Amino acid sequence: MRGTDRGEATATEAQNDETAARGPAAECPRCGSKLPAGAKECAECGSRGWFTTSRQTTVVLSLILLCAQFLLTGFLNRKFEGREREMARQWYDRGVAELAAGRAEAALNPLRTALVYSRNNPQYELRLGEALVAGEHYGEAKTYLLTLLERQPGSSELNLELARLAAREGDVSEAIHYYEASLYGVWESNGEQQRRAARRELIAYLSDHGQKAEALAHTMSYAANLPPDAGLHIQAGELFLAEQNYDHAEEQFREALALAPHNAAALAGAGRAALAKGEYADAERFLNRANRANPSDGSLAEPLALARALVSLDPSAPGLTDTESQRRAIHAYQLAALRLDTCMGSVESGANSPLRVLAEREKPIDMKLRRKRGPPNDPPRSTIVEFALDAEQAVTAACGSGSVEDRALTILAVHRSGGGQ
Amino acid sequence: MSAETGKGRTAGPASRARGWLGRLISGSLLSEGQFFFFLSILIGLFGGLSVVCFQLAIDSTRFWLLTSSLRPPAVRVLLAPTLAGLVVAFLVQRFFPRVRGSGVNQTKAAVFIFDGHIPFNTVIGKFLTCALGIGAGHSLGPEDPSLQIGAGIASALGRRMQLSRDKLRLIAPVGAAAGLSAAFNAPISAVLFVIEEVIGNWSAGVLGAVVISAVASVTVERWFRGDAPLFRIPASHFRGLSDLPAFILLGIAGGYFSVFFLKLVLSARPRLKRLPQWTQYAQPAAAGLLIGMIGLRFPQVMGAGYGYMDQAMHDQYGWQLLLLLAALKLAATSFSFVSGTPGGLFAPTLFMGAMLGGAVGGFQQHYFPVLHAVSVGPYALVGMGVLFAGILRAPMTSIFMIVELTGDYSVIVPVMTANAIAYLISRRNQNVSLFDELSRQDGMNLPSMEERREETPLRAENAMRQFGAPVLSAGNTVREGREAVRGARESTLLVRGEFGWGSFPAAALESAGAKLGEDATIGSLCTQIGLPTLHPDEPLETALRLIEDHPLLPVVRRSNRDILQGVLGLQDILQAYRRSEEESEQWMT
Repeated sequence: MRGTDRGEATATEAQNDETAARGPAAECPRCGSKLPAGAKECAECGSRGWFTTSRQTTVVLSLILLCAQFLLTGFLNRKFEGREREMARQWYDRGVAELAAGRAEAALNPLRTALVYSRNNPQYELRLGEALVAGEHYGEAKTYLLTLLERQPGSSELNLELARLAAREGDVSEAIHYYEASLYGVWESNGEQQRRAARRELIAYLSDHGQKAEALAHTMSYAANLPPDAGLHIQAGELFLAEQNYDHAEEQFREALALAPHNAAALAGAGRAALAKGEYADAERFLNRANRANPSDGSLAEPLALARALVSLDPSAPGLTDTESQRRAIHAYQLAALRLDTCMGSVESGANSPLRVLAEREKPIDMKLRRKRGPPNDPPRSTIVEFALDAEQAVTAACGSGSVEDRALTILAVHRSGGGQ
Repeated sequence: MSAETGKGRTAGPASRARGWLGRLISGSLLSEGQFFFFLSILIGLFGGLSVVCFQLAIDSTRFWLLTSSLRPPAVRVLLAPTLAGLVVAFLVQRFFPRVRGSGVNQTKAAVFIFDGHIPFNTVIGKFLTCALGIGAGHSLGPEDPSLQIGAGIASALGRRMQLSRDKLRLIAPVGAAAGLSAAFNAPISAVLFVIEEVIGNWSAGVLGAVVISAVASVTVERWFRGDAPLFRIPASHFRGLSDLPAFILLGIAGGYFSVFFLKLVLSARPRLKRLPQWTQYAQPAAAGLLIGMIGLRFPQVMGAGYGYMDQAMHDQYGWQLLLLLAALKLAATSFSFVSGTPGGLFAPTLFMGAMLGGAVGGFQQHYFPVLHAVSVGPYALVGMGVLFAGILRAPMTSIFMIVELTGDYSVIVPVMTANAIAYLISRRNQNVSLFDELSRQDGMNLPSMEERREETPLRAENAMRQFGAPVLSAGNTVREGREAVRGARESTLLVRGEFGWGSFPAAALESAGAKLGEDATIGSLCTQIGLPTLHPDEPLETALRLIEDHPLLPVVRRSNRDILQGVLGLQDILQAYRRSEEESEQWMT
């Protein structure tokens, strides 16, 4: 570049060049052609004698103009963007309001408009995805959400929406895949809370689709990572209860009670878990406390009555005297015999039906119990109890459940044979 | 003088720096070529800023006239394009007559006719009328006007900077690339389009400047408007050959759709132009009214419609609606364009392509699920490229544009396949491209870039003939030479010697024995030595340049200059050109 040497030349030399360019024997400073004497314009490139000054001025003016245009554009753009954001927010709010009111179809247009003015806003996009799913635009929702997911592959919210979409479409494996992806992804806000909610949703979904083992595994995982919060432990306990895992359920309710000893829901849960486990005294105690803590809870009446009946009827309860055990056994027998008679009167039973067989079994017991005098323990207490529980179980199968006491005896019958509630 | 010099010497680095800066910006430090590159950056920055302002103007006009809703009130939908059409027509007829149309041809005219000159009031007029027309809902796009705005700014700067005529001629495409690059947010496509459709060749000098200005422009645009692509690209991708038949069908459908659009526009435009002068004031308004009527039920067809293309790509419409939108957009764009409303065809072309592609994809999904392995989105995407290739007939741009917009190279196979089919169908059914025909309708005889692309340059091998005599060695005697060429019909004989190739008239061999003796060497007979040689693949223009007064030029093998492959005389060259012309005419008919 000729400027390498010239760059070190002084300003005076440059001025000399300029003067020379105007002189009679000068060369055109641009194209190097010889300028005729006195010529004001280069014949080759058209530049004029005052070219240097003019170009210099133009460059300076252009740079000034560029700066001015930059500032002006920046100002206008910022103003316009502010306006766009405002409009986007208004349309978004309108869409969210429609969505909250259950009008998914009406929410679509405002949400789409919001996204026109605030493109790639993840919050708006997600809400539109939700609206599409809610509005049953499954095809569009899927494409839309997948597109968003490609941009944010770790988004838990998107995976959760896709999971719900797959669940609605009945694609169980895809739903589970997306649910699990949502658990291990990134949440925009309240990560732990949202992750727990998603896991609860997944557990419910797995349970509904008969995948008990997977549901239990997720519930265990859910329970293992809970912060000290009674409400969360209660939720975990409820999940275990639904999965008939009473030990873990009771453990969760007890943890909740350690944090909030008078929490009615925890007491009720613990009572139900104890009831299911056959710990009737504990169940009655918990349920009584729950009832005192929240007397208006109507759902407690039945388990409480059942627990009380179980506590008062169980002839095998530990710590009973012989007399009390015998009294309970005979009471159970009387209840069962009466129920058997009633049931046999209402349903037809053949000669070899279980009810008829029980009726045959009842006769010698009844006869022996009616005797004024006879050997003690005849019939043996175990025979009486055995008959009572068998009868209750059979009658419940044939004629449905009876009174609270009958249901209590049926539960005892089931527990006797090793089953749960 | 000496005082000044002394002052300069004692002034120190600050003064020297000032002097250096002064020379830098005055151009005396930079060569003309370097200054041209500096100017390209300046043009890119100005172009980018202007296009950002242009987009803001369009969007603001839309808010103002049609509100922010995607479904504006009916009164506005009817009145906005109609009244805007009246105002635009008035401005065009009274103040800015050169702003009609898209702007691509005007830029080409600046390059090929007006020595790079685009009046600056064209830039202002284009900005105002397009912002008003597109913002009010006319079915046109901002890309081609941005191209012209960029070219106009470049031309104005070039003139103010007093560039040489050659450079001034090149400056308009540099600005065009800047404008298009910012409007599309796709610098590669912008550069390709300018090379393909405006300049028509890959001159290294201008290519550098075009690239620099496009990059500067898109950088400014992204600074202000963000770097998000025009569309959110659907997640599903082309999966392999099994998807290809569906895209072939799309190429065929797109090709015929393009032909229909081209025929409609190119036949309606001159008819409307021939109507009385007063109707020129009413035509844009009438077009606006018709568009408004369509917009009452289908607001998607109003304006550029990028938002709706995005929606089409995400399965938002059924295939029937997509097809209807493609047809309605075709009608709306035709109304707007032929009425003389200033605005571009890029965006409407992409819109129609997206809708048509989506419709074809949706149709196949519904009726031929075997053919259809992906969602509608990729069809809409490929459809855009298909119509770009079919209507604007810039095949390379149409391919790279889609790849650049998507950032997904997996789509390149279906895009190339479908675009090539659409391009060929369009080419076969509409001989002259849209831009070429529009320029002819406007009375300008601009070079056809399409024809230029398809020209196959004649080469030496197309004109050379077999040499009808043996090549003589310079060391041979006259007697040996006479024996060797006995019966040959060449009037000039070629000689190979230490001097390379030489020649002499064949008649000289007969008289040489008597004059010089039978044992004289052939080399001593040569009238021309060191003949320039050609290779078979060299252009025929090179032969014309070299032949001067040589009767024959030897065409030799590249691997061995001693092996003669043929000879070329002036007659051979002229005959080759004549043959080529005849073949070209036969092909056209």
